[in-house]
Amino acid sequence: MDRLPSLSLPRPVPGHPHRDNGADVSQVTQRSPFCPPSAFGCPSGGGHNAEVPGSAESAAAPGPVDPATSRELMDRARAVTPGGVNSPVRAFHAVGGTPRFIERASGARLTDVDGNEYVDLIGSWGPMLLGHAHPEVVAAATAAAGRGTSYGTPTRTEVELAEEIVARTPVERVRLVSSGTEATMSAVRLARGFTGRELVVKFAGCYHGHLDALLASAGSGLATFGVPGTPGVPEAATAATIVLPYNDRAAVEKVFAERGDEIACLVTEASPGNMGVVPPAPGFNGFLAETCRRHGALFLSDEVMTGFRVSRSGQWGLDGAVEGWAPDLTTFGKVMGGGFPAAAFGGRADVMAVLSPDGPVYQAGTLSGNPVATAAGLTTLRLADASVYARLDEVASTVSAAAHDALASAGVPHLVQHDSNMFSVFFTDRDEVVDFDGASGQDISAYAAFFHAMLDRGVHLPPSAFECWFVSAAHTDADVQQVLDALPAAAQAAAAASA
Amino acid sequence: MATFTGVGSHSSLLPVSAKPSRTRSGHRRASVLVRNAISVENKSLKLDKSEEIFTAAKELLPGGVNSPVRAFRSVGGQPIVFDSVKGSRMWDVDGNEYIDYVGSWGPAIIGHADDKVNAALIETLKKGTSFGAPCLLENVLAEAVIAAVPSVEMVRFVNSGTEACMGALRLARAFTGHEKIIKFEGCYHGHADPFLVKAGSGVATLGLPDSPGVPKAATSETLTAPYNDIDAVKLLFESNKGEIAAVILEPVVGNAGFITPKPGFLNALREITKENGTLLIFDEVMTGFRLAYGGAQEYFNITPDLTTMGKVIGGGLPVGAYGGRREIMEMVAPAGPMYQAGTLSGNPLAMTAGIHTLKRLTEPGCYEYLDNITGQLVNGILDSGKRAGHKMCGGHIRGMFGVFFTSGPVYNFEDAKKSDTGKFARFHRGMLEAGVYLAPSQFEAGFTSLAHTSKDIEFTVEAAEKVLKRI
Repeated sequence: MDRLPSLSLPRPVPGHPHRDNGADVSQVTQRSPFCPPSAFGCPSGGGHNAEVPGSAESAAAPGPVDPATSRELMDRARAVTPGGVNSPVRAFHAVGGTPRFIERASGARLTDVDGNEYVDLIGSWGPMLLGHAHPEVVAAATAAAGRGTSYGTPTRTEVELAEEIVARTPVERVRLVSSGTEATMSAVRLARGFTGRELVVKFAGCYHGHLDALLASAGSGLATFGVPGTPGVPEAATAATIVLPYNDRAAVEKVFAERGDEIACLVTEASPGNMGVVPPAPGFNGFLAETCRRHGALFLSDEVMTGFRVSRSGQWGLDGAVEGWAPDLTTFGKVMGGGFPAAAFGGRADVMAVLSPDGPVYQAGTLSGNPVATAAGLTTLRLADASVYARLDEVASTVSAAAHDALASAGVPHLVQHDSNMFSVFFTDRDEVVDFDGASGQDISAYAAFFHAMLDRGVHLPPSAFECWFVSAAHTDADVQQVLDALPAAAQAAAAASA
Repeated sequence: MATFTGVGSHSSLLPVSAKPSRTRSGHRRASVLVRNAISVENKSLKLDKSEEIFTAAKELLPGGVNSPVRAFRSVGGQPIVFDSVKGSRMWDVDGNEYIDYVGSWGPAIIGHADDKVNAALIETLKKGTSFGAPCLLENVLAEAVIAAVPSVEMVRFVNSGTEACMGALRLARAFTGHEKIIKFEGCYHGHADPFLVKAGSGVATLGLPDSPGVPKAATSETLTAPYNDIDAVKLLFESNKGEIAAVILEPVVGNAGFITPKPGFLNALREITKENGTLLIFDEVMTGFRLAYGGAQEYFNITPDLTTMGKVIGGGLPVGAYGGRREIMEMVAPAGPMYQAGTLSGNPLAMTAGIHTLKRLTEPGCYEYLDNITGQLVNGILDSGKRAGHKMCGGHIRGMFGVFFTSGPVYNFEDAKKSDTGKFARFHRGMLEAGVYLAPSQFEAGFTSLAHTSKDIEFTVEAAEKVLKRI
């Protein structure tokens, strides 16, 4: 195991006057409402961070190293960061056990701080289309860093990346930002500014980043925690947000019939992946685009997850391009950052013309379009050719089919859904999941058992049943085989947990 | 979908030529007059390639830029496209060299493209830039921030100052159960809707009242007061008793130009917020690790409840952070119910850049050095200005400075707006032609770095003297 870097930075001093002297961290975290389900024997109100007794991290699995260092680092992290993580889903609350601290990643493999290796099916939640540390992306980022990572001025590479995005999507003009959250908050402001209207329509279970207006019945981490909203968001912020069931044409028609002339935009994940994978019904996105158009509202397609992943032109490449329509605005992120924080929103030239500095709708960012992130993103997009998408599709279909077979053999009620190479497994007895209600009713304890069994066999799934399984073009046949080999035992573990 | 060959033909990511010579004497080529340059003498900058690339950019990016202030709208002239930076220097795509006082708007406090930081980045790049899972480096940087910044007992990393302030605002509302906030005119806290009220930075630069597309409901709870006006703040507390979640401010304003707090102002804010159960939020995105290692709160010895950070803390990569008292921060998911998330938050590469940047800043003498050179710079410029008969004022604290073209004193945004922005534009252009890159707006602070030498400062002051005589 690599020696932990000694960076000789000043460490917090116990008893420092501004510290709550000697506060017991475990006591503090016990106040958290987020205790794992009682199936894990968690005492009420108690340490969700404790090792879960009888979890799949124990005996049956062949020889992973006990995640002692991860455990230690997690304790250390909880003292300095809320929940010990910088994004909630990483804390393993839905599955219990110790989050693995990652030391390095390469291709489709993660190595944790205890030396355990995993086949990666999180893919950093989407960016890693080509796998981790792709040599050409590393080279491009290295070269760019040598010339400075951020200038605060226009640069060539941001223009080249914009060209690439414009060439592959219906977007005519684009603004680069640093996260999907920033992209969506800006796009919503732009839609409101362009139309002069306020109402925003979204779908339950879709997640578009943590802007106040859209933190209503959101998916992703919020679905994982089953939280309907969040404190700290004024009612007024979500009062102008209408939340509809996904895939429900009648609901959309009704809302637009009643209030169509007040609606600034309808925002949807182009193919939702934040409540598990719940694809649009055939023609649904086209219907949304047409409905918006008829009422003078803007159709905002959130391709932060699907963009450049489900096809070289995102979800639009699979529906709009074929059916002959385009969103008015689209957001992108993840893949286009090449593993760096970078995202974008763009669309019709006349709409984008209202954005500052050309127009009065304000949005800005110090690191927006910085030369390193854009170099990494541009290289990634240029490398994402037909063979990459073919490989993604192949890996996805092999793994998803094998997951289905294993779970079916073990008699575990489940449903695999996919949109191109994005897929997820619902631990449900439903025949189909078309909306958030359908996605919600999963057997979380079965998923948790399944997750840990896979983890112990060296496969790191997303630690939540409400996330997509992300594959990459770097998954080798050996990687795929390792996943396939792990599935039967994991399916058995799921069966045992739901018995 | 348009396709463009102009920029695409330079498709290599490497610079077109080797880095130009660093000798100052030959770097001006008085060849092609740029059509729309505001030139205050016969010399002109050759900006052909900048023009070419920027023209292509305007077809793709609104205004040709990814952040409004870069478009040079308030100073005029051809926005400059840059090719590389190092230390205190920048080189544009035409090969012109400049001494840089924008510093990428704050991050570059140890100088651009620092060798040690870059070496660390290159090593980390090979190990993966983003895991979507915890990594040790997040702990290391968190601990460093906590040790440095007095108010911070716990910290959450995000990807920008905008995200940090959004998070802090939601947290303050969740913690107090109140909704109203007080901000100050001319202060800028990122572009989340509730903050786009009498905002500084690009909003001020472009002369926008506020922004369309922001629902009244989002800003109706945002109360504003003039900076440095404690009486106005007291009135707001009286008429909104028990309803104010937080007071947020830049403890030293950088987004309306450089404005320092009057003696006692920060103290008074600390008192009134404590009395009213309101959180005091210092937006140290600009001042953090720049006015002192512990930021403005260390410099002024005032401890807020929450602090937002960015710029320097990312070492040149996109990073933001918000932190503060443990009992408040424990409300943030997944420790508590207040939601905030981010795919790239805490990614190992950004953490590496931050860690090594902070490491450099812990070396003795950094802030004394910054204080020294920045003082020389500002005093030099102001002296020249006075001798040339201009109405000017300004100041500095350590590595942050500003100069206004008005007699001053400038205590707030209204005072700042009295500046002669036309003269500023001419000053900006003159300095550009002399090889000095200042922020293209009167309403932005200036930044120095550890890489700025006294020779850089002397050169700049001499250039300023010449320019100020002409404009």
